[in-house]
Amino acid sequence: MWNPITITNQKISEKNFEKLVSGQVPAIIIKNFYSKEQCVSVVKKIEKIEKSHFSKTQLEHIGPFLMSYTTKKEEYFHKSKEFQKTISDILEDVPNPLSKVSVVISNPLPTFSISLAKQFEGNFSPFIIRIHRKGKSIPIHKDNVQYEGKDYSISDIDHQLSCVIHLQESESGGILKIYKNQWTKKDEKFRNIEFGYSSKVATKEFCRLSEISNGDLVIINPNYYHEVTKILGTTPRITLGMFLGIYNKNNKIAVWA
Amino acid sequence: MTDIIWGNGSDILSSNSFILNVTHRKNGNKEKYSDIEKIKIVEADIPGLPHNEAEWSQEILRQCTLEAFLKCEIQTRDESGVIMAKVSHSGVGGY
Repeated sequence: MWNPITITNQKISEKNFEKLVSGQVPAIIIKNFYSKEQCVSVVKKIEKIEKSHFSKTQLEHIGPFLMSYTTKKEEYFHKSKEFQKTISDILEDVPNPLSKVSVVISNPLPTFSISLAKQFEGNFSPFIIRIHRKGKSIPIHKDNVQYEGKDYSISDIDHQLSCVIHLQESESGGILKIYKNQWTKKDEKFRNIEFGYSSKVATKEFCRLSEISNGDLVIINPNYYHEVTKILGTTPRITLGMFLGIYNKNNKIAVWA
Repeated sequence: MTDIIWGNGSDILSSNSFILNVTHRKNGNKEKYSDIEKIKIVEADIPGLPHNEAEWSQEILRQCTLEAFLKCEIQTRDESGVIMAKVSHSGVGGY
């Protein structure tokens, strides 16, 4: 069986961290990373921001996402700068997610420093907020900055992890499925036109993270194929995501979205 | 409307041309396209490929296009059958 590790004391052991990086487990779930009250507070602010700025464009994301700007560096860094005020407003009543993740990661990697990724053009965006409404699903895909982010400095990392805080779950659906196989370049022949891959790339063995509650943090190796099943409830699924890029040589972790 | 084909980069023919193994064709394309087409890049939006064409080489093009999933917006086909196209990479991800 390929099952996630669930942690209730906000501390990841070195052994469990190694299990995630090496693919022995599909995910680490940190329960109650944010309290239910903190989630409600953030979601209220997101709804306010969304209504005032994003509803007309029908965007489902708040904040720039690097993979949407693979060849548009200037635009990405410009939008990242613009996003700083918005994200400060959204998170003003809760502890900063990056600081909290730093604490969680410092246990298995005590000698590593963690900071927002930056390069000559500016700071990367630290987070992305995704709002997934009823009927929406995310097809099988991977995230791999070493392949898709060649124009950015962080493409030289050794390992990439995805950290997603589940701020609001839908009543039904919106389940993360992680398949027990990693993307390789030869899989590009199974690409869908706009996004994601044919189901042919995924192994039959997979894990469904169906026990996620509001406030939980889910950490995965995003080079393993993953998807989100269709959201069936009327409450939108809202998440806050960031990537961690681990540099083995200089004990550094860079954060971006 | 522009004809569009998608597929994976294969052999490199020069610093600005390559073979595309065609996997998808836009519904409503005016022309027919075979499973293997020669593509000459007239405009590019591909990660890792310099904006300045003078900096391109066969090796750089190979690194950026070999096996990569590419979108080709077709401008024309020359007398030898080579397609002139805007070539871009689509890689938006994240759950």
